[in-house]
Amino acid sequence: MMTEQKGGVSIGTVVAIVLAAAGLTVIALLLKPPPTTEAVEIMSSKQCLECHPGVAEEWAASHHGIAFKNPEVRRLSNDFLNEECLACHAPRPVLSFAAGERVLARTSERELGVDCLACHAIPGGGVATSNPTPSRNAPCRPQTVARMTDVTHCAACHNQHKTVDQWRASDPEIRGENCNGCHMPEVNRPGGRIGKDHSFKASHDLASLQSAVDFSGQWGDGDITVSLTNSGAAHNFPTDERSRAADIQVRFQNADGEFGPWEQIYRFRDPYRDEVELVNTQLPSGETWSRAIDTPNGMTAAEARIIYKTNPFMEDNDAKELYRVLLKP
Amino acid sequence: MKVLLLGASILAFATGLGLCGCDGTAAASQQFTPPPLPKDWLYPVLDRKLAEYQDAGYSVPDEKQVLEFIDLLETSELGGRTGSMATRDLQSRPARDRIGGLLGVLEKLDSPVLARRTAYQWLAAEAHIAMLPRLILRLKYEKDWLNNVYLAGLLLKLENGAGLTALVNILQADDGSVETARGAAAALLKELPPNSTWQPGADFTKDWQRLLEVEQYWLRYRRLTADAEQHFDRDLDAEIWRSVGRMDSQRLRPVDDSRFVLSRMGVEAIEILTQAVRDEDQYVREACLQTLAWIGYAVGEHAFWTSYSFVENVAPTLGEPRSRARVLEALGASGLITAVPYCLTWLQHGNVEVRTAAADALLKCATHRHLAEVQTLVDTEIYLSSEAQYALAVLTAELQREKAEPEPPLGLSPSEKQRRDLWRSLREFLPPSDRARLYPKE
Repeated sequence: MMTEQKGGVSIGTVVAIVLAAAGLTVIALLLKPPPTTEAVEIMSSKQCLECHPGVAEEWAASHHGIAFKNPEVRRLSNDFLNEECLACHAPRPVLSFAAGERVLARTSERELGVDCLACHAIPGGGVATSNPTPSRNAPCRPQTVARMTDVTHCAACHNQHKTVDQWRASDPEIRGENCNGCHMPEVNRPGGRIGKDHSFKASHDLASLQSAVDFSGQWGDGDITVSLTNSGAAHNFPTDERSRAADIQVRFQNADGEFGPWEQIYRFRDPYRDEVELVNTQLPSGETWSRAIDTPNGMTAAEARIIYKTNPFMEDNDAKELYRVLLKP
Repeated sequence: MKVLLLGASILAFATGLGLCGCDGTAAASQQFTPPPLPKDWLYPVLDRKLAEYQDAGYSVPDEKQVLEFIDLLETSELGGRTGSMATRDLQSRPARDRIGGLLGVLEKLDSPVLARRTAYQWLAAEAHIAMLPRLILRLKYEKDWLNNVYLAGLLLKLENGAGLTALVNILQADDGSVETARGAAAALLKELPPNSTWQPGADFTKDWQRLLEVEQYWLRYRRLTADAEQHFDRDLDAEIWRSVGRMDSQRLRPVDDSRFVLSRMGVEAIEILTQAVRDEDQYVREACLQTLAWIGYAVGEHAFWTSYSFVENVAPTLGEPRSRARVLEALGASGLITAVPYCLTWLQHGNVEVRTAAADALLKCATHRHLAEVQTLVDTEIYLSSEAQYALAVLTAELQREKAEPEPPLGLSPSEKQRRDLWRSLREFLPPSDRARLYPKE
């Protein structure tokens, strides 16, 4: 039996309204125009390239795109006979693991490296996007997944050397909301489409490296002082791979106007585990390193520079020069 | 009442409409139901084993204790009264702590080379099988060549051949600065397991030949000789389980270390790894399966000749979709014929990833009697990755006794081709070996 309340709304009416609303919602969903394209089961990242040529182009040239083919990686991993390297260089979909936990290697299409499915595939089928209003008509039927914009998405690989931990400890003013702000900025693609840059610019890109640090020098009384500030990276400089190194070098100019050879002053780097005589000298986010160097007698000027190496054994000439400053009395 | 009925009828109508609107995809999909995981198949294996073996194995010293051991070892080398006192101090400690401390000296990356050398000598004097896992890990980190010879010798004494490759490399080194190490390595060859046709130390060429023979035998069977016994030791099991215990790490290095150690153990590790495949942690399961795959045909040999139910113990984990590809990899790598039906099933019904693992597994374990089934599956229109296509092409060529390499499909990485060509060449050793080859003395 239903109970009636005088002067109010009956429980039956409330239940009816709820049921009607639920029913109408279902009807509305069902009557919504169906997608005009057929849904496609995504089995390979190669299927993505046809509809997303702009993204594909950026990705193919990126270090995600060449993660498995990169000759330097192949050399260091003994042509991937060191199978442990495969986990991050040919990973299974990140979303099939708990947020922030490491990924495991896949067995197929390894030549695609860190491919579309590695970041976008949803376990059990479907494609994830960070777009809050994905196209319902796209054959891959993208679904909004909040984790796509979370640092844990990148942490699956990039926290092996604590980059994401460093990011978490950095100044919120520098770090922004996630990794994408610096490494996947918005881009305008042909046809007027706006998207996230899939070239993942980082340590292989001079402009990115330059945006990470400020470098300066000063001629003093009997010495010069050089300084480096990690002003733009929300993680250590350099970070992630232990093979990365940034060197500070100076050279002096004599009275005849000739510069001497570059002298190594300091190296920023996290050493390999067995380099027991070295310590981690990476520069944390927001911090400044400074060093005074005696000026040899008779020198009239000096140059200081910072160069970046993607492996510690790289010749200076092959390194990227980020900044060079001329110092004079 | 009428209002309520109206609401309910709208909901019912909408629901009915929804049900009618089903496109029949489910009905149209292939009627294959993967066998589910047996009840309670996955459980916290690791936690239970670590608790069970808590009191066994060697102690792990802290930094201060390691420094004390280094000091004692260095002092013991001084000789005289002080040296004797240090030696007596070491001798007076319980074996579990002494061996643990000596291993701790080896494990400290910046411990002095000479202290490590002395530690190897101490450990050699009381060599015990349970030292193996921690000693094998030193092969990854010991940089001093002479110490590597001591380490290889100690492993040899414990009937483990994981250090033989270091001996081969040291003896082949064309570097005058390592003459002492080369001399020690050459002297160690007389410790290789004897055979009836080889006189140790009589002729270096024959010693060298014997080293290569024993190394190959070790790599193939994870035993030094045909009559080598499988060791059963509670302390050894404790140390192996502790090594397995690092496989759930989120940092990769401990996992790499464990895989390095356990893939270089003798057959003692095989059954423990197989048990750990039932762990509820995906990371543990997959690292164990991968390690078993790295051990390869030695798993199959062990299972065949000891009647160990490897396939039966591993295959039920196929019911866990996330680990399915790795299960197939381990099953196939064992080379056991009983693994083939699982691989054929999942080549047909898996997703791209699983089908690739199944194809690769078949390349490692299918025999000529499976040729027709493999060909039938290849001829059906299932999507296969370039890796899977090539694996099946290589397998088909091998089973049809075609010498030529098949044409690799477009997009196959040269190293992935090479990997599968290598697997093909290893099929020569598909288990079970001729018993006469494995047990020549019988």
